[in-house]
Amino acid sequence: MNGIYYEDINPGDELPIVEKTITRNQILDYADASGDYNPIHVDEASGKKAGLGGIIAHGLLSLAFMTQLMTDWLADPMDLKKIKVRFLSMVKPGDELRIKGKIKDKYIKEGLNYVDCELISENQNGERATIGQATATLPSKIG
Amino acid sequence: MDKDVVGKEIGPFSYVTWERKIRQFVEATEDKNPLYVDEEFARRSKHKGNIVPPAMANAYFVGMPIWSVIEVCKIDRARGLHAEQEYEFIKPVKPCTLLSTYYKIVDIYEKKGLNFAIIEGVTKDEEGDIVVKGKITLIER
Repeated sequence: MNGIYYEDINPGDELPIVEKTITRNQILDYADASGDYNPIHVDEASGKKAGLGGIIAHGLLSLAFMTQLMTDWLADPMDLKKIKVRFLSMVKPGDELRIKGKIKDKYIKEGLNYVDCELISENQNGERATIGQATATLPSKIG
Repeated sequence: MDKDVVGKEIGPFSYVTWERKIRQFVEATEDKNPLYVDEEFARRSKHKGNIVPPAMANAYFVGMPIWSVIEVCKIDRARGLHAEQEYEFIKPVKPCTLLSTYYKIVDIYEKKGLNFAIIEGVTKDEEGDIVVKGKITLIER
């Protein structure tokens, strides 16, 4: 929940990393919270039958983590305007994720200060689980 | 997948942003932003009260509604994957708000041996204002 100003950031700057350890209980809790009870997320036998080795985390849980990376960095969560993610690989109980962001560009458009960020979520083996992009607005020190 | 459903509109799907569900969501995602659950903190903010976490669009935009899409597109559940997700956040959502989500199946196509379904949608609040726009890409292996 740290505020940052448009003048303080530059392309190439890295956002504070968010780290998450995925647990079976968290996946089940997220199923309850999101309303997504796809059996591969809540039933071990279904996960094994699907060739996944057991239950896997929702891809949208990783999107929630990437959103959190941005909203933790921004002064106001509603300064996050857009997010787009692609789910590359499965996330399983026991995985340790590092969610990272880097500023790609900043620009002024129609009187608002925009920042575009590249996002990536990697597991403990350095494998990319999710990649994404986000666009946010930032306040200015000027006026 | 059934290509004949391209252009079909589905919905609305209703969801109420109950405070209990908000707490459940922020606990499951380990999001400690007080703006979502601390009334005193939120009252002092520009929002003058709690707001729903942007990521909770996962619940009201995708959550249950997506299963209707899977059924309409005749996607084999055993081979279906959520490939991409996009959101555009338009308006803050308050707790205890009735939301309505509307989908349109905009494209279904085959590429490199995989079937793709593209779904676009909006979620509106009780005032009829759009709070979120979204796009879902599903793949059938």
